[in-house]
Amino acid sequence: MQESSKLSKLSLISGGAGFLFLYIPLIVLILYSFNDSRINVGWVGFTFKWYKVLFSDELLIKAAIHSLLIALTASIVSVILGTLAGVALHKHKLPFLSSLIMVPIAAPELLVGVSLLLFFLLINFTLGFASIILAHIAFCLSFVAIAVRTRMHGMDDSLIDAARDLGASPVKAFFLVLIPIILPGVIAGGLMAFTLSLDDFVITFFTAGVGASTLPLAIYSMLKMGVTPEINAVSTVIILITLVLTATATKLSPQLFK
Amino acid sequence: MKKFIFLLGFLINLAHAEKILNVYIGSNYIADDTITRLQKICNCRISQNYFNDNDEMLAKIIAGASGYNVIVATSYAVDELTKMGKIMPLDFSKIPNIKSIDPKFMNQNYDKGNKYSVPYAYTPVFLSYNQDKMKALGIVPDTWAVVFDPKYLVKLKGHITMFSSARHVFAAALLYMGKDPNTTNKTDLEAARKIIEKASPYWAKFDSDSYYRGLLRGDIWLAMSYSIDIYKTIQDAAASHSPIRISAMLQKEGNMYELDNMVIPKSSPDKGLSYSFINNALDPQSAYELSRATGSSIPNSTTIKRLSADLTDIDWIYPKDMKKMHVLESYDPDTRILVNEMWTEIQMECH
Amino acid sequence: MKMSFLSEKKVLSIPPLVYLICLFLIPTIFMIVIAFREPGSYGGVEPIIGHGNNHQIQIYFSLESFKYAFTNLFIWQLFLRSLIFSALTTIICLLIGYPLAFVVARSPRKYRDILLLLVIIPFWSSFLIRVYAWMIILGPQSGVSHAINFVLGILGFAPVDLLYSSFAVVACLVYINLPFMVLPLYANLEKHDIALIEASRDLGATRSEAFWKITMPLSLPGILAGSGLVFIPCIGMFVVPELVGNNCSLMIGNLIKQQFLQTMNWPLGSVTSIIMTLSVLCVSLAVGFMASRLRGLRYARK
Repeated sequence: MQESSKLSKLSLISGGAGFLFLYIPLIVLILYSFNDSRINVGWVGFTFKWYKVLFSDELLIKAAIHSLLIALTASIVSVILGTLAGVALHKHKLPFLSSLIMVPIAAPELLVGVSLLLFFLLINFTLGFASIILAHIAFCLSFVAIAVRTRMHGMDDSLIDAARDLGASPVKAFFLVLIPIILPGVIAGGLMAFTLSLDDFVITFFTAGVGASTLPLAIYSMLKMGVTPEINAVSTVIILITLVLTATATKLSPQLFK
Repeated sequence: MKKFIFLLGFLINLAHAEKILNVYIGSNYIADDTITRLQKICNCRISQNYFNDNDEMLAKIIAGASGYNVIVATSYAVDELTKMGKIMPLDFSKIPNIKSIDPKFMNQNYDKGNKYSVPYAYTPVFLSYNQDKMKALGIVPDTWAVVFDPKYLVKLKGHITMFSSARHVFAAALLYMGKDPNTTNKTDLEAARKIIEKASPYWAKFDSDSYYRGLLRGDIWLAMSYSIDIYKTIQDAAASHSPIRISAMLQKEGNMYELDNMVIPKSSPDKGLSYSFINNALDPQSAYELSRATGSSIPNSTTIKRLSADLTDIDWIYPKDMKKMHVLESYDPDTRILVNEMWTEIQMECH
Repeated sequence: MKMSFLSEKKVLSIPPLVYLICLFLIPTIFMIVIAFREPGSYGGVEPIIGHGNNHQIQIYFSLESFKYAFTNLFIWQLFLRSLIFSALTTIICLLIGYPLAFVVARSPRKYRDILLLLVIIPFWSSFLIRVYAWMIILGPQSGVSHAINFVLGILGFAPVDLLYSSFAVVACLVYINLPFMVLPLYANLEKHDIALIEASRDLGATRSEAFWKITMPLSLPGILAGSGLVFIPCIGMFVVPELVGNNCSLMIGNLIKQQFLQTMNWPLGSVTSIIMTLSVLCVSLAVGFMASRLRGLRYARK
């Protein structure tokens, strides 16, 4: 059975135009990071100097490190909580949890950020790194749960029962049988949580305390304060890193991108 | 083996973690020389956390931002911080250098008797401009009318910026009307609001942080400005051999100025360090370095004599007639809410 | 040994449940309560429960912020503009995204994964970067600006500023949200059975007829899903209008942000957020309703 029909010229052209639309802005961005001109008007000359500026920009590097640490913490905790939720949702009927899980994904980020800000202020919880991490866990959890639940759809439930019949305790069955099977889903969910946390802007913006800067927050203030090609350099680096991360995630769990 | 040494070194580093002094301050408000000198004196590292807008600072402090040893609070912010219970009364025996501050800057309305704050420096607010553009249009920006009166606005449309601060823009409008910039009279405030609304379609944007870049780029010809920003901008323009010539002047109806004070938050982790920092920052040598390096105005007449004439002669740094300079005072809650609502509408309305 | 109290169901579901309740449900409830309070003197809000004159416990309750929100024209303008921008963005995303998804879904198997990856990669980099890319393209010094103004000049129009305009805002919104349209569409299109198309061609249908009569209707669930995923987050956007818009292209998100971070009028901010949530809820219910009615069209899937 043929799996694809020939594409008409029209669809090829419009599809190709779509790809161009997606990529031309990014290519311009990357090209200008090598442009020896402060105001990016025309091409002046090739240089690495903006990358030098970038790597000696202490504030930005600190922000990047903060982002990494926050993402690491948030993804680890959300992987634990999300796996629990995903397994629970697959095996049991839990309408309340099921709808609650969808809320962080469906709700506009502004709402989530603002309500968390309000919440932290009202309970006198000092804003800082902890508030950011708590906020990130909240939405990452949902993504991991869904990734795990999806993975479990394709799983043979009877394997667990078989393990139990052979004398394994529930805990042993969980860790020695279930986890290895759903591991690709867990890892893919974790990677997704990691990337989401790294890139998050809106929710971080509202829950960050002073001094707690993340990379997106730093880029935002750079964009507001005045644009230099250093932003192009940092953008190029970020694009490269996400390229690597995305490729890894795809290899691990192709059916995640359903 | 290598791993062990690395871990050991890390732990040792942790144990001897240096003292950090956190200051919450506007950007470019301490001279670099002063920082180096003060760091040696206190044997600590001074970490500056910047804010650009008084109201932003207040909002962050309400939100529970803490861990600062010293906050540099502007004018009425001292009053608000006191009422919010965030700052502590000062023990002036620990700040002997307070004697070098001019008495006329002490005992302000926002802190009668200076129980909670000491003045550190001040920053006049005025209009700065692109000299060549103003000459070509035949406009002399010695009056607030150039940003409020349509007959000037039509020539300047899209090339003016004002602060994104309700207090400053309202104060300018009130001064233009000949009224007290701190008035709480509802009729006057409504009238000021109407003037602002009529003028704002002609303004390019509300910007307190990066308006000077517009001046340097050449697309902003007239900007409500802080003295230290303009001082630095003029130096920057000269250094990059820019053809753009920037200048500034006070307005004849009067101007606002921000009187910045050092306060100690109750949550300061090391009050001794706070006092030491404040005392050293008020030291005449620090004041001299501050004014010379950043163009800030210091409230210290003996030290002013040390500065060179081309700095002290600048009217928009050291105004000759302080009677026409106004400090912004805090509003009562009702007026505050009223002005905030008016400001929200002004900022969000489409014309 | 069965521990009936700690059933597996509870052990698994309680930790995430507790977490989500604490960090989602409770903050939302707080926000709803705040909407009914008076703005505080120094920003924030007055204490919720206070003491009346006779040392009685009184609960202070006010509809002031609701009144303000409903009676001020500029707030409704912001809402309307947010809805229009979101709708425009959704439609344009559909027009650009459908061909993209179609080409990837119908490409030979061996290319499909790579093409899909190519679509996803821009998505996974921070959206601020993507907005910045457009700031460059639409900036007054850019090639695009010069080209467009050149054409306008020939036609006798005054030059326009592409950046800091509604055009820039919608362009950025489209660019940021495009992958949200493409992915659900692709997921749907990929599952179509090509045999149907082949059969229709054999029966004499033209390419265009085959598309409009078979592929399009089958892809409606994907269109709905993509539209929902684009429209709903779009309403709450504030960063894009802030960075590339002007006063006449601000959205409701900008007002909410201003109330929470600048003017500190929490009750007004909460009221506006609630109204925004309700409109988003209405839209998602409508989308969900339409989607469930389409479930009957599930025939002829692989």
